[in-house]
Amino acid sequence: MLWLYVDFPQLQLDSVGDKLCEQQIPLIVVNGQHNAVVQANQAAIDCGVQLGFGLGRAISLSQQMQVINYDEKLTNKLLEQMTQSAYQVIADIALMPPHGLLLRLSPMFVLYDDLAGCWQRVQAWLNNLQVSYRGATAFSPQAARLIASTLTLSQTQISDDKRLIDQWLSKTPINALNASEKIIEQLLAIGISSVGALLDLPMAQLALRFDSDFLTYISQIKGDIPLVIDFYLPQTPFCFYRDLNYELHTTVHLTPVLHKILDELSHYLRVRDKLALSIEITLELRDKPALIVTVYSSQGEQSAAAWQTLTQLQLERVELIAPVIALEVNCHDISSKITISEDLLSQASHGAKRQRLSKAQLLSLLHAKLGEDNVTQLDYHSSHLPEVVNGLTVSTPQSRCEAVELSSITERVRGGLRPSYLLDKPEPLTMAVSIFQGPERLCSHWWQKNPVTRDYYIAKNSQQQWCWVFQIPNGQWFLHGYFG
Amino acid sequence: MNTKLAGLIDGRKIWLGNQQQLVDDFCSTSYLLLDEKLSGGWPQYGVIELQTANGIGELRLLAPFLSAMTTTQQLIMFINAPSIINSQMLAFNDIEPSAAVMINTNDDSQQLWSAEQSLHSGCVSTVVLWQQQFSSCQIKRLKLAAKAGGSRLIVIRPPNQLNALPVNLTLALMPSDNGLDITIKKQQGHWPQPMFTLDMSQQWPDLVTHRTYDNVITLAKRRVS
Repeated sequence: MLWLYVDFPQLQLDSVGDKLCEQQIPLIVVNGQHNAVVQANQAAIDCGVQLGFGLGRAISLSQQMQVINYDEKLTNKLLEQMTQSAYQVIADIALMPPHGLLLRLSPMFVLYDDLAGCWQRVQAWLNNLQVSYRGATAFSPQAARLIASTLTLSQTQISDDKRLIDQWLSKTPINALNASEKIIEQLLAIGISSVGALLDLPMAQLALRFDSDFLTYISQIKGDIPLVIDFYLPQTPFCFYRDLNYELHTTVHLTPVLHKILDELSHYLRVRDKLALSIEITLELRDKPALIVTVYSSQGEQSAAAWQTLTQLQLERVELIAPVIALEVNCHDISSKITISEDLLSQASHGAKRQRLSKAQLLSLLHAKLGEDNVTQLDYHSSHLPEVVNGLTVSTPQSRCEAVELSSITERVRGGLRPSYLLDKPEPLTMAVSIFQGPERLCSHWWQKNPVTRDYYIAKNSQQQWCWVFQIPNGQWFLHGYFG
Repeated sequence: MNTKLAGLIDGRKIWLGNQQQLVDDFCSTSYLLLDEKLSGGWPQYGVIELQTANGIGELRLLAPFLSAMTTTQQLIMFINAPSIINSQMLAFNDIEPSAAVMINTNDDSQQLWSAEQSLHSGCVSTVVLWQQQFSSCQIKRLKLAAKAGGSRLIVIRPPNQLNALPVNLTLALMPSDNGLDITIKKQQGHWPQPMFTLDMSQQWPDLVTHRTYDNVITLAKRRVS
């Protein structure tokens, strides 16, 4: 069984915006617990920083030195995100915290023919991630990890030749072993300086000197005892977290950051042949509770460009009360793709060159820009009360009626004339009107909560507008609409 | 003088008779008199301007046109309507209520944006927009969007507007006893028409001011002892 261990020693550093890297600003990631530099970019190394330096020593080397606190949670999150995309290439992946991924290559040879084909795919994926990595293959997970840990950045050792791998392994210095310093000292004391020499010793002899944990580790390197591995299982909801490491004060500047994430989302959806109906963008603000922006698409979208337009419109209306320091994109609302058959003939007859948007797409666009409340699609509920017909009142569940199709409506409405414009709420009638038609009495049902009895009249006011007015039993007059 | 004239022609402020390509795509207004005055009916494409007060019969005049132009796959947008458009009225005029969308926003530029997006989308048959002030380049832009999307725009403005817009048709509507008093202020390719009265009493018998009943006999007001 051939294993590939890919190590990302500078994961947190690479996740920091490209901005700082481009400007050649020395950047270090410091583990506060051990007061040691754990990651440093090229500019910092040029200044003379070495891994393991204390914070004070590192800072004293350059005035411009930027320090980031090592965040284990963030590293794990980033690792998980990479696993998500790696799953498209390799089926068996295991997360090896703090910053490694273990890939089982052998089963994939069925798909990619051999190691060369397989490595080509993996390399394409790795280059796409734009992070620095090192990797090595071996016949046991622990051996692959051991070899990879001795490599320099962006170096890889890929082979399925047993002799070559054994050679790499035997050359590995003893202090690369994932063992306590005491054990390393002990080994050095008895004159063992490379892993090769250690592996040559019979296990029975080692058992006399070392504890069982170390012996298990050695057996795992040799491949005698399998390592217990939790393989990654793909998560259905899409989730992408991005720590900005700098503050954004305007939503306009979020666009390039979101663009990358939406590309990722689009890829995620495309390989599953799904559409996203809504995405949730969580903006983490400095010293303020996080702001959640939900973007909807009635039809469902897959392409990053479509989501980009919708989110941009939505974000234009968002007011930031504090600078954004991190953002997360979640997508739970996923549906399978449905092909809509467009009506070719009717478009041709209307002279439209091409239908650019579907109805649902247009409505999503308007919703995003103007807000849900400002764009209303009219509906018709079967009732005789004008408010209920237009769905203006929140009717009780018993009297709730479904919207009806036109064909079933027409016959019923022909009774009395109804106005074109309806007021939100009937207003007290304040002007003089002359009545020309009526009355027509409309009453609510006896089981409804707020009983309504109205005598409607058609009247004309002094501005010659045709009004729809009514009188309630106590004699008060109200205006309810106009016959436009 | 000549350069001034050329400037006016280049700016499309003057239309020349031979420049005009006459469109024969008309949709009947369902009123014989109006069809005759409009030389066929409503222009099927482009921008129609109505200068009218609200609530005197402007939507009733438009309803047959809206209904005829809309297929089952299309939407009608009502942007910045003075109040809610009653879905019962739409159903009465054979317009599917769910095909009508109301957009309410106070911002003029957002209204224009929504109108342009809708006209351009190809899934909207007609946009009805209530807005007072337009510049001619805004109208031209909407016209292009309508052309691209195969849709049409109806602009409703308050009466007595002075600035002329590059629209295809401008009607001024005034209330009258049995219908509307209509002045055709501008008609692309034809002459404007002076005011005439459109009798709508046949289509809308309930909305008529003077009604003569020939079956009522007035009785002398005399008390019987």
